[in-house]
Amino acid sequence: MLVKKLYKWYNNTWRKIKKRNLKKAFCKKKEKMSAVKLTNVCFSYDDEINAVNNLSLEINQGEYIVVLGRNGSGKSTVAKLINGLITAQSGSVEVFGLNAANKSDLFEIRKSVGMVFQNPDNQMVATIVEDDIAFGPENIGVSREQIAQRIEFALNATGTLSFRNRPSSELSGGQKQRVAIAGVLAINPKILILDEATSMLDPVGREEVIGVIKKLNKENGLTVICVTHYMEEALDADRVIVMDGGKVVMSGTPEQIFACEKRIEECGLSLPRAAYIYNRLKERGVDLGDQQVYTVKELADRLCELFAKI
Amino acid sequence: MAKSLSFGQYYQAKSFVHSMDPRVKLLLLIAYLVTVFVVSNFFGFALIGAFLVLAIIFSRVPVFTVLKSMKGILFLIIFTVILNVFFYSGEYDRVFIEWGSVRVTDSSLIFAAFMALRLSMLVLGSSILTLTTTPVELTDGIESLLYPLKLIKFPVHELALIMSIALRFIPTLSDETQRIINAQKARGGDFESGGLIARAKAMIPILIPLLVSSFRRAEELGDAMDARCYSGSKGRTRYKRLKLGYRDGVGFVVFAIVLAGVIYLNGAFVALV
Ligand SMILES: Nc1ncnc2c1ncn2[C@@H]1O[C@H](COP(=O)(O)OP(=O)(O)O)[C@@H](O)[C@H]1O
Ligand SMILES: [Mg+2]
Repeated sequence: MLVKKLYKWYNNTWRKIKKRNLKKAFCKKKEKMSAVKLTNVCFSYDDEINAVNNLSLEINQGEYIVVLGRNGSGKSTVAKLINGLITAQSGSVEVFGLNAANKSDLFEIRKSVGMVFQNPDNQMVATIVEDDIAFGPENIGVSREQIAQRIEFALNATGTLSFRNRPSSELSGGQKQRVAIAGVLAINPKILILDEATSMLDPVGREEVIGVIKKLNKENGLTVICVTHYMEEALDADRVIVMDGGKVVMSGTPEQIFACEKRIEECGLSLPRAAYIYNRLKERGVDLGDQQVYTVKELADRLCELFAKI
Repeated sequence: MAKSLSFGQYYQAKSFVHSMDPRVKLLLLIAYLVTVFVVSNFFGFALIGAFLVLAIIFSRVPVFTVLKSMKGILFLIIFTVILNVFFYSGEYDRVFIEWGSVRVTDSSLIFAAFMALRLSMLVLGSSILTLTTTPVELTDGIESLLYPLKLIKFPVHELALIMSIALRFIPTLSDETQRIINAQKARGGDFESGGLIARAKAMIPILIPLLVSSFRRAEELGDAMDARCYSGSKGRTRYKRLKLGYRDGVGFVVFAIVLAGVIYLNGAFVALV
């Protein structure tokens, strides 16, 4: 009896210790785990100019990346490479260790990489919102009950629950784009790529969409790669990547990037408006405090403080 | 306009007919259409007409809305009637008017009446289906009914997807057409004056930009579908399932009774046509 009990106790404890160790090991792995890894990637549409030119880039799990760059700098091409919509002519594209060049891994890669495009009108398949969101999970063979759950989750996460049974043609741009994000979320991806997803939206719509993305990144640990033309959107990023001529030319925190005004302008970009005004005022000796300003609201506050002093 | 197009003639209501399975409605419509052409005397018409009236009542669609669906075909009906009244060349008992080879006889009048009845019942019956069924339901119904064709490698799923995408893009493309028309008008385009040929020619600067943009849309949609893991019908599940209910049974039974009645009446009375 006693022996048996002892043995049981020993067994249980041993199992617990093992589990804890495993968990620790797993967590460590997760912290370091790279979600996307591009190594010396080249891609050309017409065999003449390389749209992506010997590009290397590593993105870790849970990161919020913003990609900036002028038109034609190769941002969309990189996005499509990551999703396997196009295949690199040389170099390797890896997503969670799977190589996008392998046709057999492509389906798995697409399951873990969700992509939202610029024009919300051109990415919906069904008339009714709910049916459209079901399209992704249907494609990967999820059971009916699970699809219902996923739709519920996706609608809640994007705040689109009230449009569920409405035709998407009746929605505003921002609402449509949130539905498009919901359609991608229902596939349960680990990475979300947004290729200028806010560029056709009005300021309100843009804020709605960015709000949803930020929340998904913080609360659900989704890795976000957001391609944009709006410098203000870059301020939310963990890391900003600037592209030009098919290459990554700068990479760093928003503060690091926007500290190099000259280089940014060389890449065809500009500072966030507030930062630009702050710099110009500072050059003329207006004292707005030493801390760099990025948002219009901060700038307004500083200006008010200044006027209060005078 | 875009809205009315994307939903066809659909009349939103909660009714017996609305909640029937679209497959059953489709099958019943086909059977109904065949019956309308099989009926050979006025008693039969009365019976199948009663079925039509029943369907209209239980669809809760206002009679006027149903009748409006005749608008498009009214001209055709009048044309057919006139043609048949004057040029029907079957056997006859009595002649009312004779004018060269043109004769109005008793049988030409009856035949014309039959044609008018048949055509209107055809249109009214079909419009009951489109008034009570959303295009999405219709697509689902057609896909499900055509399912057996998969055995002979007919791309049923693809066909249904094409139909559903076409429906989805109707409002988008109709908005776009309006935008292009406005843009061309702003450049001095004239689409209202001139004869038929001049107007058809004026459509070219609308159609070409529309075509180009449709191709661009198609390409983007293809990418978006690929990105959402679309890879054909293999391994695909369905979220919505069509379910038969007691209403569908009732529909079938009522129609079976009507059909039996029509067959009996066809035999019992002299065929007029
Ligand atoms: N479908 C295509 N066919 C040919 N060339 C293309 C195509 N798409 C993009 N390009 C070219 O590839 C380069 C990079 O384009 P892209 O990745 O779309 O840039 P971005 O998204 O940063 O504006 C550009 O020079 C562009 O002209
Ligand atoms: Mg682009």
